[in-house]
Amino acid sequence: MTDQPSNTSSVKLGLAVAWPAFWNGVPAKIVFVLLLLAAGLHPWEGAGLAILLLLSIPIDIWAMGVSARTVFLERLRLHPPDSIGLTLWWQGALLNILYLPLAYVIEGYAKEGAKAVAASIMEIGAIKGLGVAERISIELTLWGSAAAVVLIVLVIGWLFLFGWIVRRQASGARAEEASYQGLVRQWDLMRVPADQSLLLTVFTAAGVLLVIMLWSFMPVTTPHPHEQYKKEAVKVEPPFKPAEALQKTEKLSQGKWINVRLREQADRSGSVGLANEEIFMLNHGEHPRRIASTGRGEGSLLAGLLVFLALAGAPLLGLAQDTPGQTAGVAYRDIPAVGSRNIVWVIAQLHLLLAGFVLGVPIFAWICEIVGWKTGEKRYDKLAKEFTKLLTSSYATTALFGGILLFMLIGFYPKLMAYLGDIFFPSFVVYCILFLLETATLYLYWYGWDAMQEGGKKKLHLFLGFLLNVFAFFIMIVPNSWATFQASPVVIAEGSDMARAWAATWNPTWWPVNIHRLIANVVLGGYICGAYAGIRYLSAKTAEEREHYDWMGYVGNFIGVFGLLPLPFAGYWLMREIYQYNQQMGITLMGGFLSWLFILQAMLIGVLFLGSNYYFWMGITHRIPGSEVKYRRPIMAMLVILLLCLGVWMTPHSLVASLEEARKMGGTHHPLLGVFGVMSAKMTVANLMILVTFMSFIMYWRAGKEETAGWAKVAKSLMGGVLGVAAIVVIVLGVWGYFVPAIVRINYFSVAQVLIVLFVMLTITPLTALLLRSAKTTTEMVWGRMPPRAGYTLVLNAVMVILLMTLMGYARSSSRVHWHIYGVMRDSSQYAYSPALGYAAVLMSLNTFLFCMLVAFIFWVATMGEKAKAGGGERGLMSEVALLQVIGLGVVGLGVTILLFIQARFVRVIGFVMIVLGLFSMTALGVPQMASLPPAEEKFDVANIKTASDMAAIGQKIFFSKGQCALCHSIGPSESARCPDLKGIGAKLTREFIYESLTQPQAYVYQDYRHEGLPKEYPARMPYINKNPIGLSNNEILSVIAFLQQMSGEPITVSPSEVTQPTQTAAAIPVTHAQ
Amino acid sequence: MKGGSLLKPAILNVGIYLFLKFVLPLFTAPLPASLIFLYVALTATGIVIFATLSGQSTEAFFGPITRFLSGEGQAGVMKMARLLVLVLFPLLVGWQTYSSTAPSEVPPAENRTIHPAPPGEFVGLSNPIPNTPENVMAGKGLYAAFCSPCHGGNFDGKGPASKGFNPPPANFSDPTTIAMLQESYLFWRIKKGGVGLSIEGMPWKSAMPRWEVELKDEQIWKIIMGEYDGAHQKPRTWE
Repeated sequence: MTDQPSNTSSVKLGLAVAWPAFWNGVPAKIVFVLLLLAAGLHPWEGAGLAILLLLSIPIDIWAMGVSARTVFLERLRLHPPDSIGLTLWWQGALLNILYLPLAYVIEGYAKEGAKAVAASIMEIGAIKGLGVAERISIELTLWGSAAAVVLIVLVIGWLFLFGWIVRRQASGARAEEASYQGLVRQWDLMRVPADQSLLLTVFTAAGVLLVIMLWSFMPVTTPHPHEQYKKEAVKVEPPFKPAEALQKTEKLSQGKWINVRLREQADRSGSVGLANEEIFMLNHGEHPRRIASTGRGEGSLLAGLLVFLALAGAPLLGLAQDTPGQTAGVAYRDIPAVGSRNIVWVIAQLHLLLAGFVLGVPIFAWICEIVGWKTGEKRYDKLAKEFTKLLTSSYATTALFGGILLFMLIGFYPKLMAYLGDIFFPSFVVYCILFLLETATLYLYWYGWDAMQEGGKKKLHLFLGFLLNVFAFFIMIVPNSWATFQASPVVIAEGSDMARAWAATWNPTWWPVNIHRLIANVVLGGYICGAYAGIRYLSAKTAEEREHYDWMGYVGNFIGVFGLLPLPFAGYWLMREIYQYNQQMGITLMGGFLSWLFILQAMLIGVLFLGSNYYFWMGITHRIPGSEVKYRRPIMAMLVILLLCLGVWMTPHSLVASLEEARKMGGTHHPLLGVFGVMSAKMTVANLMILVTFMSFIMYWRAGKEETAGWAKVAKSLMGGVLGVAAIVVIVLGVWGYFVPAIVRINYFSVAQVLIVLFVMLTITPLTALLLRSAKTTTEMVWGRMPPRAGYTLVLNAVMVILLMTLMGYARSSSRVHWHIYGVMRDSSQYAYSPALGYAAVLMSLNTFLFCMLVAFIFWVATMGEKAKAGGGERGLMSEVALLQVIGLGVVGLGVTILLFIQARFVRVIGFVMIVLGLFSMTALGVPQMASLPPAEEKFDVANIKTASDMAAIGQKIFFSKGQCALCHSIGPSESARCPDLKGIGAKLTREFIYESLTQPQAYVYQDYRHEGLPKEYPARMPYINKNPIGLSNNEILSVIAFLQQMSGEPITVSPSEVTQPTQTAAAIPVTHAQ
Repeated sequence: MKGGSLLKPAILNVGIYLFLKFVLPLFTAPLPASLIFLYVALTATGIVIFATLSGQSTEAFFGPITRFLSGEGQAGVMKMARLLVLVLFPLLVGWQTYSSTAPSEVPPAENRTIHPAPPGEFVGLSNPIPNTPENVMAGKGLYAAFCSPCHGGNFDGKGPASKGFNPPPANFSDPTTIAMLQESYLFWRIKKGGVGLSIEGMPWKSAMPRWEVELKDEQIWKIIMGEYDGAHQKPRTWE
C-alpha cells in the first residue's frame, strides 16, 4: 500500500490530494450557500459570490490540510509538515493564477483550430452527400474530441504541476515509523482538537448563532394558498376608562364604589353577573382579602402565603391598571420579525418537555429505590440516586422556563390571561402551594439520601419519595385543567370563585389528558435516562463504567417501553372524548387539516417501536454470548410482523398521488389499500405492535435461562396458545370492525382489543416470572458488550419521544383552530391561523434540538461533581417550503459532516441528532401543506342594516359564534341535550319573553321533559348573555331575537330602527317590562 | 461468502419493488409512487435492522460494502465497477436534484382534505325525520331522481355521469366513507355542496351541487336515510 514519493507520478499525487480536498470542502460550502440563499443573496453573483469566495478560503485551507495529511500518513508514510494545508493552498492559488488563464487561452485556440479543421473536412464530397443530422454529428464529434483531448491534457498538466508542489513538500518531510494502526490513530488525533470542552463551547455558540440566524431569516407567516382570502382588520377594543365606567354604573366616587363592590362580593351567594373583566382588573388588587377569607381555617401561615402570592401576582396581572388609556385594553402584543407566537411556542414547549421529564423521573426513581430496598441490591439504589441527581439539576431550569412562559403569556396575551385568571385564580393559588411543597420535598429527598439509608430512616425516605410523586401528580393536573379548559370549555355561569374554578377544571378532556400525560412523562423520562446512559456508555473509558451505563441504558429503555405499551390506549380514550365533546374538533384532528399529522405521528411511533425492539434484540445477541443463532428466527418473525403493522399504520386513507395516479386509482383512495387508512386497521396494528414488543421483552427476559420446572412445557404451550388466540381475535375484531356501525366498533371492538392485549400481558408476565424462579441460568448475561450503535439507538429513541411530544403539542393547540378558548374566546390576533405542518415541523425540530442541548447541558453540570471535572412569504428567491427544505437539508448536511470528520463522541451524538431532526423536517415538508385559516369575523355594522332580515342574518352569525348559543342549544333535535332545543322558539315565545330569557336567565326556567322519569332541570345553567364573558350588546341581542323569529317562520317584530346608532349615547331600552 | 449476505437483501428489496410496481396492479389499481416508496423504505429499514443485530452479521453485511468502496485489494472488473459507482453516484444525485427542481408539465401531487370539519351550525344535528319504511322509500326515490346519476343506482359511486368527474363521486358502499360520518355531516355536504366546503378543504375539488337551492331540508334528511339503507351502512352515532 505504501507509495514512495519518488516512485509515485506527480499526476497521481496531485489527484490524490486535490480531488478529496475538493469534496471535503463541498458540504461546508453548501451550508454557506444555503445560508446565503436563505438571506436572500445569490451565492453565484455580485456580493454573494464575493462572500462565498471569501468564506471558501478557510474551508479550502482546512480541506487541503485534511486530505494532504491523509495522503502523507496513509500513502506516503511521511510525517506531514505543520500547516501543510496553508502552504499547499497558497502555492496552489499561485499556480491557479498563472496556469488557469493560460489554460483558458490554449483551450480557446484549440477549440477554434479544431472547428476550422473540422469545417474544412466537412467540405469533402463524400461527406457532403450525407443528411444534415449526420453531418452535424460528425462535425461535432470531430472538433469536440480534439478539444476534449486538449482539455484532458491541460487537466493532467495542472495535476502534474500541483503534484510537483506536493512532492516538494514531501521531500522535506521525515518518514513516519509507526505501525498502520498507529498512523490511523495519529490521523484521528490530528482531526480532534486537544481541548474538547473548548470545542463543545464553540460548537454550542455556533449552534446558538445558527438558531438566531434561522430566526431572523425565517418568514413568520405561511404563504396563503388562497390569495382571495382577505383578513379582517383586527378590531381593537376601546380602551377601558375607569372614570367613565364609574359614571356609567353608579354615581359614586371610585373608592366608595370599590368598597361597595367588595361588600357585594362578600354578600353574594354566587352572581357573577357583575364580575366582568373590567371589574376584575379594578379589584384584583384587593384579592388578598377576598382570597384570605375563602381560606378560612387553613391557618395563618397559609393566609399569609396567599396574601404574598396575590400581592406578587398583582403587578403581573394588572399591568393594564396603572396606565389606563394607553396600554389598557390591549388584547395582544407582538415582537416584530420573530413573532410573539413563535416565542411562546418555543418557551412553552421547552417548559413542557422539561416538566414532563421532571415529573416522570421521580416515578421510576422511587420505584427503583423500592426495588433496591426490597432486593437489597445496591446498584438499584445507586441508579435511583443517579436519576434523582438528574432531577435536581433540571428542576430549577423547569421552573425558570415556567416563569419566562408566565411573563410572556401575560405580556403577549393580556386579554386571554385576564379571562383565565378570573376563572382560575383559586387554582393558581393551589398551584403555587403545591410548587412550594414539591420543592421542599425534592430537596429533603435528594439531600437526605445518604443520611437516611438505614432501617426506619429508609422507610421515611421512601415515604418522602411517595410524597414527591403525589405533589408532582397534582402539579401536573392543575395546569392541565387550564389547558384542557381552553380546548373543551364548559359553561360557567355563577357560584363562588372556588365553585367556578372547580367547574372549569372538571371539563371533558381533563382526565383523559391527565392520564395520557402521566404515562407519557414516564416514557419521556425513561427514554431520556436511556439516552443519558447511552451517551455515557459511548464515552465510557473503563470496563466498570461500560458495565454500569450499559445496564442503566437497559433499565431506561425498559421503563420507556413499559410506559409506551399503554400509551396508545390512553391516546385513544382522549381522542374519543374530543370527538364526543365536539365533532368539529374531532374532524379537524382526524379527517381535516391535521389528518396528515397522524401519518407523521405513525412514522415517529413506528421508529420508536422499531428502535426499542432493536435494542432488546441487540441486547440478546450481544449480552448473551452464543445466543445469536438460536434467536435469529424469532427475531426475524417479530421484525416482519412489526414492519407489516407499520406499513399498514403509515398508509394514509387519502394518498399523496399525482393527478395521473389518482385517475388510475379512481380517486385518492386506493381500492385495496384504502381500507388500511381508517381507525379499525390502525387500532388493530397498534395492538399487534404492542403485543410484539411485549414478546420481545419476554424473550429477552427468558434468554440464557433454562426452565427446570416439570410444568414448563405445559406453561410454555399455554403462553403460546394465549398469544396466538389473542393475535387472531385482535385481527378478527379489526376486520369485523368494517362491517358494524361505527359506535359498535368504538365502544366494543376497540375496547375488546385493548382488553385482550392487557389480558395477554397480565397472564404471561406472572407465568414467566414463576417459570424463571426455578430456572437455571445457562449463559450469564455480560454487561458492557453492546456496540456503539446501541448507544445511538437509545439517543434516537429519546429524540423520537421528544419529537412526538412537540408534534402532539402542536396538534392539541391547533385543534382549537382560531380560538383561544374553543367556541368562547376568539383569537383575533394576526396569528389566528394555524401554520402548515412543514413550518410547524421545523419549529418542532428546533424545540427538540434546543431541549436536547438543554438536557445535555444539565447532565453535563450533573456529572461535573463526580469527576471533579434550528416573512411575510414574499421572499422573492424561494418559496417558504423550499426555504425550509434547504434549511432542513443544511442541518442534515451539517450532521453528516460532523459524523464524517469529527471524532469526539459527544459532538458525534449531536451530529446524529441533527440528521434525525433534519430528516423529520424534510418528511414533514414532503406531506401536503395546509394552513388552517380563521373565517372572517362578523362585524356589527349598523350602516348595512336596511331590513329586518338583515338583522336576522347578523343574528344567525352571532348565534353560532360570539353569542356561543350553539355551544349548548341546538336548532332541531340534538344528541347533546344540555339545554332546550330552540327549534320554533320564535313562534312559541314573545320577543319580550326571549329578551328576558337572555338577560335574566333564571327568571323562568324550563324543565327537561325529554328523558324518562320526572321532569328535571337541564344540566347546564344559562349565563347572562348581556354580561361578560359573552357580553352581547343590545343591538346584538335584538339581532339574535330577529334570527330566532325568522327561523321559526314568524314575522320579525324587531325593526332596524330600534338599532342604537353608535353616536347615540343613551342606551334605549327596547323592552320596557323586561326588568 | 463474498457478497452472499448482501445478495439476499438486495433481491428482497428489488423483489418487493417489482411486486408493488408490476404484480399488484394486475389485481387492483396501480399504487401511487409515494406509497411504493414508503413500503420499499420500510423493507430497507428492516433489512438494516436485521443485518446489524450482531457484530458478525454487521461485518458480513457492511464488510463487502466498505471493502468495495475503499477499493482495498481490488483489481480488474471490481476496480472498474468501483470507479463507475464513484462517478455515477454524484451524477445520479445531480440528476435527481435537477429533475425535482426543473419545471415540468406534470401536475403536483394531490393534497386535498377529504373530510374538512363542518361549520358550527351543522354540528350535532340529528335526523328529525322518523325512520319508517315509508320515509326510507321516499328517500330512495329522491336519491334515484337527484343523486343516482352520479353516485350510482347501487350506491357505489358508479352512476352514468360519474366517468366525467375527477375526483370521482363518493362510493357509499365502501365502509370507509359514509359509515365513518354522522348524519349531520352528510346533511351539510348535501345542502351546501362543493362550493360550501370550508377553507381547510382547499382546493375545493367537488362537483357536488348546492342542493339547498332545489331540495327542502326534510327531503335531504330523507335522502340521507335512503342512502344509508341502500348502501347497507349505519351512520356514526354516540349512543
